[in-house]
Amino acid sequence: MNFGFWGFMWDVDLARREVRLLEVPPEDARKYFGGSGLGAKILLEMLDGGLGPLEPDSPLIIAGGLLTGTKVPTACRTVICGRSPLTGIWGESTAGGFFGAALKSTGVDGLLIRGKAENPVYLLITDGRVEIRDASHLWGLDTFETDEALKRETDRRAFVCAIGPCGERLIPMASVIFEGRHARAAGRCGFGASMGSKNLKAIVVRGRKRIPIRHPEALIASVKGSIPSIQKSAKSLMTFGTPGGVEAVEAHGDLPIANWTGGSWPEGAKAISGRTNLPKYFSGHYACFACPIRCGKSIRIEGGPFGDVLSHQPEYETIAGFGANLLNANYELIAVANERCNRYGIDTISASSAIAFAMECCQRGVLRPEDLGGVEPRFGDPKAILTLLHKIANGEGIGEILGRGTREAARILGPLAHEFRTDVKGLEMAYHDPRAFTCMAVNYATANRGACHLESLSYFLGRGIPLPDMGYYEPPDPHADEGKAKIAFDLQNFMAVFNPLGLCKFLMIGRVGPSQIAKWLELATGWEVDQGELLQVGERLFNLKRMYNCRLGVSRKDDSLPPRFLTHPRPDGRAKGVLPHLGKMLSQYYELRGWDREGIPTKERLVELGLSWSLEP
Amino acid sequence: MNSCFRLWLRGHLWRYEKGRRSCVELPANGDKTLREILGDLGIDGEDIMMVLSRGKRVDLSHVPEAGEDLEVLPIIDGG
Repeated sequence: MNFGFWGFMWDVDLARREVRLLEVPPEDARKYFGGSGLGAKILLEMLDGGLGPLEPDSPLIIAGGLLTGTKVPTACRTVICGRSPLTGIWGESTAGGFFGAALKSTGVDGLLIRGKAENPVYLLITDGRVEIRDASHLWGLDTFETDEALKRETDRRAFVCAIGPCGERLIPMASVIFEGRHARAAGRCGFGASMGSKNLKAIVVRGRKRIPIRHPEALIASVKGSIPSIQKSAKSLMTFGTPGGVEAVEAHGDLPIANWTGGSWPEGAKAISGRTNLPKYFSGHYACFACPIRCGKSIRIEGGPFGDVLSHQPEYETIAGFGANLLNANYELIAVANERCNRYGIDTISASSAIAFAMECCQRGVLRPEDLGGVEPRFGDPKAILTLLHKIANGEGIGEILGRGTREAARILGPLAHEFRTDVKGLEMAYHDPRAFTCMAVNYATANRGACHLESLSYFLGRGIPLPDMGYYEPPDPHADEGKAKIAFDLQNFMAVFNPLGLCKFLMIGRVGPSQIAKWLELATGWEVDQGELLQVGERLFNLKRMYNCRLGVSRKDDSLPPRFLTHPRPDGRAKGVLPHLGKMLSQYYELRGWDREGIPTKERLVELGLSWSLEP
Repeated sequence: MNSCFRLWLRGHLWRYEKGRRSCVELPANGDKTLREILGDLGIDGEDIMMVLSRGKRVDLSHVPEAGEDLEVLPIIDGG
């Protein structure tokens, strides 16, 4: 008997309308955990490099983590993984909320989805059962409308993830939105388009099964004991959510300003900060399943200049993207753009990056107003921001090109446009500057899904959040190069276990380290696990995803940063004049990883990690 | 000669200061540590990532001197 997880996934073939149960061997669960860890193993075994991400047979996995649905703090995450339509390589994207726990309470750990349904469909998953139902009447609805309609039609207590019009139109930066208006987003990598390519509009889950736990009482006691210290450490996050940090991020020179060309913007940061705006618009707290931090906040804006908002507050990344990076100090506009992105089903980071890219292209003469349908996109112009967003979401004119991401847009628009790109491997940079925290340079360059901050969160150390379990007590010098390859290596290995376990990475803000997580894993599953094994699984999974990418041609040539982060220092502010020396850090990093000079994992290291099978085509 | 020192409260720290100022000038009496001074202003030491004096880090037991400019940076625990 398994504890903490079921050991089964549904294998759903939409083309044949066939469903079968796929057994997960317990040794695989121990070696890869669940979620995107087990997902990477299954997807690498199935990988056919000739099969594009949006082709019907391209497989997609939607799963809870190994601990999702248990009482372990923050064990709520759902992951979507597969070959990314935006980047063409490994992709994974997670969402919080209740969907993952509800999926696991139906008696399975996840879904493997392949094939394309003949007509639009949705999946209804209940205890021990999957129904493929017609969704023709939902096609064209936005994600909030779809959520409402499906709960009306199935069960008000069900949980829904859905795509909006952007996913239906196969826009490569389309997202998947969980739980409608609560808008828990699996934003990155374009999996909304993956679902759209399969004619899969939504998934509805409603389960009643209890996940068996090996030592339930001891787990509850341990969790209860940890909650006060998690809440104490994360008090700002509890009060304001992620936007509480906007001004502090600006003070550290970490905030993107005008497509990353600016250095400081203190008054703007103050205007768009959650600390300024949440007290004005707050309408309620929102906590994901099993989360003691409760960073979610709902807002209500009525009679605003750009329309009403009744939704989740924009998160830090969205505020940075639609605010500072577009030189827009109007919070109401950010909130409206956020709600529209969530309704359309499009990633707020990639969409706002594409708008900033277009603005700079226009400023530098690469694009002319007539190329933009008469819009003159100047930084800070609210009308231009909303018009470009509308064009991207609807695939209209220049919007069709921008919706492919800044890498592809630059390829189409010509050589100078490459200067304004902000992606790594096709994924737009998350809004934390590798010039402010140089540990992020090597992380962004090597992260498996592209320019992802979450694959290491190493800037947390630079911000003063310690990780004593791994020997990090004091913040490292944020601008020096020394020691940063090791920080990226360590933190990537640690972060690599979160999605496979279904945990939220904000546990690190709650000062939870790998030894505590290993303890909870042991109590839930009955396995004897310590910090060493936990981090070794993390290293294994990081390498496994690298092998997936290597099969698709990724190597050192791809492990770089957009030009401006290597050549253009910030002009003022705390990170003024800093540039990371990526080449040097990368060589140190490859050595730590046991990769060769071209960034390919060596056979010796793969054998040590139990991944020799990944060398076989 | 200036007998005061200045504290630059970066990020959101101005919000905790009783007068909501981002720059505070105080007399350098040599009798209080930074931790005590910041505490008097309403700023908890746990909210501070680091304090810089002329670009170099000082800890919260530092006693400010006349003419010193101190930059106080907050911990970032969002986003």
